[in-house]
Amino acid sequence: MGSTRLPGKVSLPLDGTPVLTHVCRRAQSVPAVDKTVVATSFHSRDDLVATLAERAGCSVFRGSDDDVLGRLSGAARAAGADVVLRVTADNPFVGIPLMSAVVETMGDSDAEYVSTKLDRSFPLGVDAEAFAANSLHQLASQTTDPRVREHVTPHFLEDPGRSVRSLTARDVFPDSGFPAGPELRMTLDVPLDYEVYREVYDSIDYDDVLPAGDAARYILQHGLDSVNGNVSQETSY
Amino acid sequence: MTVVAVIQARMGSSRLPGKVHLPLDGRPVLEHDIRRARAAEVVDDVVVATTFHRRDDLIARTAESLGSRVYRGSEDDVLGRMWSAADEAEATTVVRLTGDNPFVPPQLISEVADLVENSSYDYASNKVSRTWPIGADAEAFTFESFSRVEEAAREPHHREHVTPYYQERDEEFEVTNVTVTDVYGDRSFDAGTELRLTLDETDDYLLFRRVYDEVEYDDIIDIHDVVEYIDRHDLGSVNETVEQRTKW
Repeated sequence: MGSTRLPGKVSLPLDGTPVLTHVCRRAQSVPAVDKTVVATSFHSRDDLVATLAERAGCSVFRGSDDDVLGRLSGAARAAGADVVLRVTADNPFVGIPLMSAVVETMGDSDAEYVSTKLDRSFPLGVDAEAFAANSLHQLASQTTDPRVREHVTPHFLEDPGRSVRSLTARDVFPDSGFPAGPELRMTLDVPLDYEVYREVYDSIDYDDVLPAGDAARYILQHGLDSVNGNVSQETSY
Repeated sequence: MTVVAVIQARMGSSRLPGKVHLPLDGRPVLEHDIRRARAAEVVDDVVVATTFHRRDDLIARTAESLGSRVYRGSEDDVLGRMWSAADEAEATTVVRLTGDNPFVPPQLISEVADLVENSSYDYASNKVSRTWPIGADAEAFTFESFSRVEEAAREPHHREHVTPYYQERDEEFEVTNVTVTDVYGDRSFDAGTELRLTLDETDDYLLFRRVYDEVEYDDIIDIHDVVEYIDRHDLGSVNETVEQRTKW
């Protein structure tokens, strides 16, 4: 809930449903996912996050606010995970086929990290990434780099000692591709983002989950990318 | 003569960040606040007074999209922010409302505003001697007296909570109180003064969401129906352990 630019953003409604609930449904709709856990902080300002998560049928893990790596590792331990699919709650268009692909690739390989963020080919906010739980636990017990404790991903993007696998739009959608690339913003950080996504969610018919490709096409066809296109992204992990 | 309702609202909340944008029956809390202020017949204009911080951009955009005026000022000096908002709107009477109270009866707003606008009182509210649920609150004061308060009040709690100065200096100001009976006469109700109709924590939100989903209404939920629903379903206790931090 503590966001500097849009406090409480994960409880904002899109089509009448909180952003967090949309994100839970998206993760739950991935066939390879056995269990969905919402990892939030122990602070009272995150009580609503915990309540919304439970109502969406997710487990809840509460940990540190600033040590995201420790919280992610703790949540994975509590759930007994082998593979951790990491999703951030400010991405109401996180791609379901992408999530499926990274989890399946983890299962088929000995990679520690499989991600669409290594070679960016999708809009910001659609990407998916998965970690081997053991690698995450080991990193959590050792690293003191504040950037890794807060964002986790930079370590796997930058450490050449890690066994990683990159997936691109061509891997995930070999036939159709994806309608937009990394120049399109589909993550929720500021009020202008919220206005765009609210229009998208109000305008497109969908059942249960709204396909990211439909949303991207709608944004481009209606020129909505000009509304929030100039928002500066503080991090891109 | 211009009666201006000033709604103070911000996204930062230690216990429920972004609370004024949480949906109740599909509309953000702030929209309910603005509708209620407008529904009070004596109110000529509504201003949402928020901060200049970028985290409050969404409040400004929501208020504008609903046709409300917006004033952006200091986060800490709420008194100064409200005074400037009232000054810019050329208020002669100011009604102070807070964004976290989605059940304020328009009739109460009218009553306090009318006492200040059309008689000699400097300040009228339901808070001098409480008979209303917590959060069914409205205060009105003359812009003239508010200007004196703005200049004289220097304690931090005056700047943060805006109106304690009136009640502490009741020899300087003509102050009056409005009870439930004053507003509703023989339709008066007694819900006690412990019932919480203010939005501070998750338990409050869950209760209010249920009320807004279940109680039938047309534009504005009647407080009689709210009190009756909570009483009938024995829901008054679900958020009673929430500790009220201030009594202003």
